[in-house]
Amino acid sequence: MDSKEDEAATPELLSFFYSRFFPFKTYVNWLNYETDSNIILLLESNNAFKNRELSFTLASDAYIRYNSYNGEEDLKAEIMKMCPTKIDIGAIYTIKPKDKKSMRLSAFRPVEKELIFDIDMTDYDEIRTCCSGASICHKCWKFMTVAIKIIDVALREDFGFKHLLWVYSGRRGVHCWVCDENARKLSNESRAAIVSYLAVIKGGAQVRKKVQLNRTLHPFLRRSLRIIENYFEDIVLKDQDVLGSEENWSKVLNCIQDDEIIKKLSNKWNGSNSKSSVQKWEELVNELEHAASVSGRKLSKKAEQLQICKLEIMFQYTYPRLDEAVSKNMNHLLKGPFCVHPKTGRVCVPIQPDDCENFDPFEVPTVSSLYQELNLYIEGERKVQDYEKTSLKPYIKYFDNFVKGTSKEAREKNRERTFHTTSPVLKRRPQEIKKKNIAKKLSILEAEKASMPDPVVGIPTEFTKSLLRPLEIYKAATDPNATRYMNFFLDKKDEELLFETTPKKVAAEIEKSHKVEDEKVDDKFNNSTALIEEEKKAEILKSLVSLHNSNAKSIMMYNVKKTVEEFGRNENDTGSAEVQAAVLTVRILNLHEHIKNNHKDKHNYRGLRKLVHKRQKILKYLKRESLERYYTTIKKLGLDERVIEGEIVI
Amino acid sequence: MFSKRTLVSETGEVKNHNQKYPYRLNFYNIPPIEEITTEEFEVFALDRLQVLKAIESASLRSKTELQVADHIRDISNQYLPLHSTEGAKNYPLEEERRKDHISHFILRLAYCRTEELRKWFIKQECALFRIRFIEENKEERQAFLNNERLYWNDLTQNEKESMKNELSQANPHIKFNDETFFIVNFEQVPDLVARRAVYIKAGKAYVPISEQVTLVVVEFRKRLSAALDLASRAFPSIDDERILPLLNNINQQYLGKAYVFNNDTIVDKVTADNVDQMVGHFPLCMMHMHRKLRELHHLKHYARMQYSLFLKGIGLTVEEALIFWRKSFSSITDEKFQKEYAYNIRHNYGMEGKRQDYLPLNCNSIIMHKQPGPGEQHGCPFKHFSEDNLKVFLTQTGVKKDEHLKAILDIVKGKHYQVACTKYFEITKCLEDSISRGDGERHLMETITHPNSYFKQSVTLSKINNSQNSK
Repeated sequence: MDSKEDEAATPELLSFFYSRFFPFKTYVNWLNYETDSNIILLLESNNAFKNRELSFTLASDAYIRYNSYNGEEDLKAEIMKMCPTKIDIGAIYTIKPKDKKSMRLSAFRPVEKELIFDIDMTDYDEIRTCCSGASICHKCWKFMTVAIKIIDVALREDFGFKHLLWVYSGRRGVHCWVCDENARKLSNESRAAIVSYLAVIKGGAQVRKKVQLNRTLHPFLRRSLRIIENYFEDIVLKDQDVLGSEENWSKVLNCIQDDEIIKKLSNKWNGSNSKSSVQKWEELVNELEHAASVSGRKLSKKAEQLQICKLEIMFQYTYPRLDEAVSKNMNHLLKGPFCVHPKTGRVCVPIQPDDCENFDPFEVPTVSSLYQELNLYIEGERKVQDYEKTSLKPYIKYFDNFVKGTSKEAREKNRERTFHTTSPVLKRRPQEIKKKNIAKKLSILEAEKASMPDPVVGIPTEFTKSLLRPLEIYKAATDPNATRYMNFFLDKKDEELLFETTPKKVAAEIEKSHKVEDEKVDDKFNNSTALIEEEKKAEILKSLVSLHNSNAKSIMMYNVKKTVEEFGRNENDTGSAEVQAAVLTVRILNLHEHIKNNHKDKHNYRGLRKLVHKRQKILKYLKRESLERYYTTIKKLGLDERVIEGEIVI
Repeated sequence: MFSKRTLVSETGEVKNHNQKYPYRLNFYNIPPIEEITTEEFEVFALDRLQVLKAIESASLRSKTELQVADHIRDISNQYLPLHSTEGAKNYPLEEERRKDHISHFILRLAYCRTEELRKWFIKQECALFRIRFIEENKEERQAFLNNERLYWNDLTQNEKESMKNELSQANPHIKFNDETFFIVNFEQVPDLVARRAVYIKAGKAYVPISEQVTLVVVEFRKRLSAALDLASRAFPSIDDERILPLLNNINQQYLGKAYVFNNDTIVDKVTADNVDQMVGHFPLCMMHMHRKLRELHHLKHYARMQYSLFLKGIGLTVEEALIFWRKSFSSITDEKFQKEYAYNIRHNYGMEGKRQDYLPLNCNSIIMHKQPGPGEQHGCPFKHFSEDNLKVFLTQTGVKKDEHLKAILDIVKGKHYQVACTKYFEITKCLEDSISRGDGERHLMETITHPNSYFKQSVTLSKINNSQNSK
């Protein structure tokens, strides 16, 4: 009837479809359920996709179960290689399904799986008159519309599920994936309970009346009835014409538990084909009501039965027929969305439940139609994905959005969950933890920065403070109380000799000579005058050899001498590493003083840097030689490992 | 933990035990710590087992809840009496409760070994607990629940009023104004959900207080199954030559008469060709499927499973089975058969997949599990046929007299499907008269519990008849 009917999917077309259209990325995201949040990684390993069973049916009809993949690329490569005609999605197991054989069987069990529903048109064969078996038409597809409406609203409102993905199975049915977290974690028992709650039609081929209702309808049945009432006349009476031929209407009458009514109606309808199904239905309803009101006085139970009978027939002819075995077991497989049905070539596209009336299974894109569409597409300016060039675009977009919705919820759930765990550390929200950590890190960095000595001058220590600085010395020259330092390495002994002993000695000798030449003692020329004279000379000499009258170089030499004395390991040690470093430090400090006042002196600035690096080099050597000496030295010099070992910026 | 009410006699001893076992009901949280003799050990265990088995067989007979409760009370008074605190003056409560407590833990040990045993034990224990809980008076119950700290969120009066319509529609039999409702997640009350006996909205079930027992049993089941898991892990560490044989012996008792599948069947040789000749000996369920197979040249999955395992039970080998099904599915191409069905048949014989050697299904599982859906032919005709269809079918298969027909249908109405099947056997094999004549040899001793035992008895009977005729 339709040109698209029966375009079997050839392997070439399939491989074309997988390479150009199949939404691998969204697929993997979907089955992963957003478990990538950092905190969650700590709590549980992210196994959602890796431990998921995927099964393939190959073109040769071989069936490969228990495949599992690490990610998108892995999966894509395998699918491209095998080119399966059908991809089934199974449960998430305790271990990777592909490792199943290497493990004990008891360790391998399903832990999570979407709650799934399968509604197949073949189950409607006993009530539909238009087609049978695998074939469908627009008339009987309406049953599916009703089924989607009833099941969808029940799952959402009664059970509180939010993420329902309805998918056309490619030929004659629909699937429903309930992807909420609590739905995925349902036990088999709860699954069976939900199915039994939703299943109204019960009984095998040998039971004619498959619906038994109570007098008071459960709220769920009441709501389903409201939906059924909207469609019953249209689908069952007009389209299917179930009261048309005798074969069909006798099936309906068999549901009535009253032989008289059956006889009466079958007599009435036999032979006359003029009446439409709608008219016959009216007669049937009238008859039931009449009988109920008559028998109502005598047998109330019978009356109840007859009253409810009308509803039971309506349910039997319109209510969705679920394939219960599919939903009951967690490890049941179901064909995934966006597969290609091997017989019809149609893509298993999602159906929007609120727009399911307008879904037409015959308008669904097929592989060959996609191929043509892609060929006919005229490249625009913007570069677009292949699927966007074809009629597959809205379906893929819908699927993308659906997956975004589930992962958003999963993310929020994860956040909540960390809030509920018992560990007080995990109780805080991750952002708060992060913020605090960053603040902590910054404060540590700052403290480190603050404690970092200047690579050139270091931290002032006793040693560096004890060094003489030319400017200070010159300034102190006028200050009589300031300590005097002697130039030319004069020590205390020399000082005594020069300024105490020598003047006295000289004065005494002058006196002596005066006495020898001139026996008469000049009164004016007494002992003390010579001494004063000599002392004046000494004073002049003292200021001459004093450091504050020396040049900067002398002060420098003075400093160096002191340093060598301080750091030398023995008297003769003038060249050990610590002495070298210390002397360099003296030179550096001196030069630094100069650079501070003469910042344009680039030449000496370079010299300073050279000195600093040389000191660094020497200290590094010292560290290799002896840690103890190294640490005592750098401590005395006011330096830090960080300015010795690391890169230094001056 | 003490009981406020002094319901007990004055003697200190009873009082003491009242503190140990203040309530008749017990969640069996704490194992008994005392010494008992090995004789007592065995007696306690077997007595409790009697009660559990009675519960199982009562539920198999599909009696109503009330009948089952009455029956169990009798059995339980005989083997494992347990009285409410009210009866303190008349009964040795202390003794009874101690026995109940200890025997539970012995069986727990005996039945923790395999998944199947655990499942059976949990089922029967839950049923027993349920019966006891219902029997208990309201105050005792409440005191017990308080003691166990079992509380559920109540529905406030305002909320209750706002949902009045829905709540009373979902629970038509209750007095709405006196009822309190609990709010729980729907997963907690699967059997209420399955029966549509509770109002559900947005994943929450509103359970009326009259169904409180369900909530309690769910809790009981949860704790018991966790405890059994624990026990099964601890079991290997038991190394006591006094009790190990006892425990092994006890768990053999379960499911008393499992059909033993033996190869020396009574029929000489079953081949694909002579199945048709044996149909006369088949029970109704198998006969029905055989007919449908001949008529439609196809059977759906569960029907194939049920029938193929039955044929395996009567001695059809896997090679013959493949030939049999291939011939029966005459409208299907060779290729399709090999692809879609051959695997299935080999699987039944334990030659594919996890290589489990499946046993033929017994009546219980045929009746209770895998309810046939639209277009499916498997199941038990007595249970899964509508009355008219069953009537027609019975008439076709040899029930000629109206009185017989009526007798069978009455039994079916009472939901005793296996009894009905036995009756059918007796009628069609003309045993009715011989029973009335008191011919012991030809009397069918017990109820049919397995389609293969039906077949066996039928064949044996015909052999006896033949030999008698030849004489």
